Amino acid sequence: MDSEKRHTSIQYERELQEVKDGLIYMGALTEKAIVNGVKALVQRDSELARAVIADDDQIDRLDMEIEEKCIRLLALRQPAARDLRFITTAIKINGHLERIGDMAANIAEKVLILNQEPQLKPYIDIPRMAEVTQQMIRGSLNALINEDITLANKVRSDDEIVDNLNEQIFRELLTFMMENPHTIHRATTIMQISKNLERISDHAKGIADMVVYLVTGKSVRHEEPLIS
Amino acid sequence: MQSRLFRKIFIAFAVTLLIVLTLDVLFVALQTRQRLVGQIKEELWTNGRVMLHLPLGQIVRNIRLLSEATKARATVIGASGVVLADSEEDIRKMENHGSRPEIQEALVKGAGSAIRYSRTLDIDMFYVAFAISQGGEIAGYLRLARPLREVQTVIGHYYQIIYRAALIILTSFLLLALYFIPRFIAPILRMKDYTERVRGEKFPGSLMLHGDDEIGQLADNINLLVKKYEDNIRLAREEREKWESAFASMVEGIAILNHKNRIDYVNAGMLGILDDKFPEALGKTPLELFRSVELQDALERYRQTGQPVSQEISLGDGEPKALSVNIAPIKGVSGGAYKTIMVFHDVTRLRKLERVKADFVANVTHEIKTPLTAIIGFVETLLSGAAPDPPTAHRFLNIISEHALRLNRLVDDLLILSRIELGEAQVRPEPTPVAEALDKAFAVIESRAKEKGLAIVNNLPSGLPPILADPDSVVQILVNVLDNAVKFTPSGSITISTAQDKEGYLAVLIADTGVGIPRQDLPRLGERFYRVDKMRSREMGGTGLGLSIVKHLLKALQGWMEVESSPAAGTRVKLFFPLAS
Repeated sequence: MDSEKRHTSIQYERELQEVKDGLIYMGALTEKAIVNGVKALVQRDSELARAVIADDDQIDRLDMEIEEKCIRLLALRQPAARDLRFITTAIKINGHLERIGDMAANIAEKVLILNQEPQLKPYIDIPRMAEVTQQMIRGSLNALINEDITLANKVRSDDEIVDNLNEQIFRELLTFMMENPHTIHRATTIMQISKNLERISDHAKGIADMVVYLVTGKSVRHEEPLIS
Repeated sequence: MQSRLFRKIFIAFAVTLLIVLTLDVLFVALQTRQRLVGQIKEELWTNGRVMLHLPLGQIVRNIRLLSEATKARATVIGASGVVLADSEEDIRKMENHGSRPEIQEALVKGAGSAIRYSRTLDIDMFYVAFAISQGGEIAGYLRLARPLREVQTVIGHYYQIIYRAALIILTSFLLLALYFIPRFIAPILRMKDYTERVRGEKFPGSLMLHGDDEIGQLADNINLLVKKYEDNIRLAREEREKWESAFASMVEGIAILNHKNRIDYVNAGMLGILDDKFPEALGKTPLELFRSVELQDALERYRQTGQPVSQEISLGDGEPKALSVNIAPIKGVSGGAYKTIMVFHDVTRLRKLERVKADFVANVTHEIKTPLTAIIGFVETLLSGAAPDPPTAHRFLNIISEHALRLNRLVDDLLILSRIELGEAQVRPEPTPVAEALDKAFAVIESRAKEKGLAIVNNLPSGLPPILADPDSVVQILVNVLDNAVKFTPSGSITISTAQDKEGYLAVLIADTGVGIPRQDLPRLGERFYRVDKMRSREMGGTGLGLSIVKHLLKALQGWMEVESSPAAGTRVKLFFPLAS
């Protein structure tokens, strides 16, 4: 499963594990934020939305904690090869997760706005987008733990699904707006939510890109994922 | 023999033997040499003494003869050290011998000896010198000498014999060693093999080794220890099997963490909780496996306080499960590293039921409060003396009456529903003709339908087989469905007919031309108080329980309901009743 690294000190190994655990915890927090944000949207629950916005503080704190741990590791342990790649990619993954948290809080803010008006239409595509992005975050972190390139590549190609859903929502809302100008405020707000989810999926893909780099040493950030 | 032990012992003995033999050889050689030299000294000494009886002159004149007779080189030296005669060398070539050690000694002690390497003869020589005294003064010296060559030859000869002997001894030792040493160390090697197999956990019975010496005792000890070890392992395994089987039969999910915070054990109950993540559970940390923030926080609290912690968490995407987790420490038997046990209780159903109950209570109170508020309001108005004109007062009283009646109907429906659910409604099925029940149902809703100008069309074929049902229940079912049809059809007709039968069942179809039901509301029709359009339903005096009652009654009769509908195309309700045969 995971390669047993023999480091000169158990302390060092524990510090690396702490970084890994921190990333997974942060991933769980962001998943929760997305799930709750979309739940607040579908159930028109403003209190839940407010909770999501408040919980983003925790994600931000964790972001700074993890970054500091990584920099300390670089300074004190002066890692080489594998460990160096791990710590530098951890810093990048950390950044992606923090942005995802922000996007989720953003969605919650839009929900508060939407709840002040009646619901425009039933939400089918947005929960689907949320489901896919949540799976992408889960999958990319699983790929990190298990160093599983196949899984990482699958996550990378799932980004396309979210992109397509975003397009679909955009087109549908456009027709709403053209028919009835009174829907414009709500429609554009929903589009912003959709856009946020699309960006979240981009960040999740970014995490998967980092995993591929970590395992293979090859940077695939700007390459098209192979359709699996 | 590849055994390292054998080689060690062998080499130790061989080296010892070698050293001992070498020392022996040297010792013997030394002794022999000493004896031989001693012998020569004796002879020279004795011969010399004899020769001393001769006068000096005679000795000098017969020096060669004397030399031959004593088999020694003879030299006569004057008191000053000048060589007066020598049996072998030309005295003119010989230097002064006065300083020779044997002469010096003879000067002092009367006789002396020495061993010296003779340059003239190129060999070690043994010299014996005698002082010749005449008249109380030293007149000269007589010196006899023999080469030690023969000693060396003899010693050389001896060396050869000794070497040969040593070789024989060494070889025989080595052969004997090759035979005896393995026999001695064989038990030790067997013990080594045996313990190695025990180490590899292939328990090979007991060590068959007996002896009356310490090795035998060692073997006995080993046997005892191995048996104890096997017993311990067996006990530990039995213990583990005991609690593993206890855990395996539990409904709750159990996960055990070792001191490195990794999952050590999961029981079968965890399968329902983890689904397809179950196979990868072992070796992961809880965070990696469950990805639950609440669970991680609970574990943090547990770690900081060391106290058992209880937490309710929600797991699973799609249909989340509600789980109540108990986290507690397991103390190690040796008092060593702690393990942690997590027990998961699935309380999803419990919570769902709680929610349903809470919703129901909320709904009921709301439904009751609404008409009550209206009644109280109007009564207060009338009582406050603002008694308006009789027509208005009359209107108020009508409204009050309406609401009161509605409350009454609500309470009735609630009673029916609760009786059905408690099973008190003794549904005694008997063969029931549908046409009769339908007529009774018509009677109830007829007037209202006529008021709205709706046509009721009865297309039930005659000669239908009876259904197996409780007659009152069937009427109630038909009334409720027809009532809804009337309520939600502003104009048009309501048609009753039969639909496609299912094997063993009669399907009654009630179709209307009403407002229809939107697609997403169809699955929820049977829920208590569920209304598609709250406003309209209440206006029509509905309690919200009608279809719920229909659903439960049908269930009790072993039948069911299917609804097809779309807005503006009317609704078609199919009721399936089991046939009486």
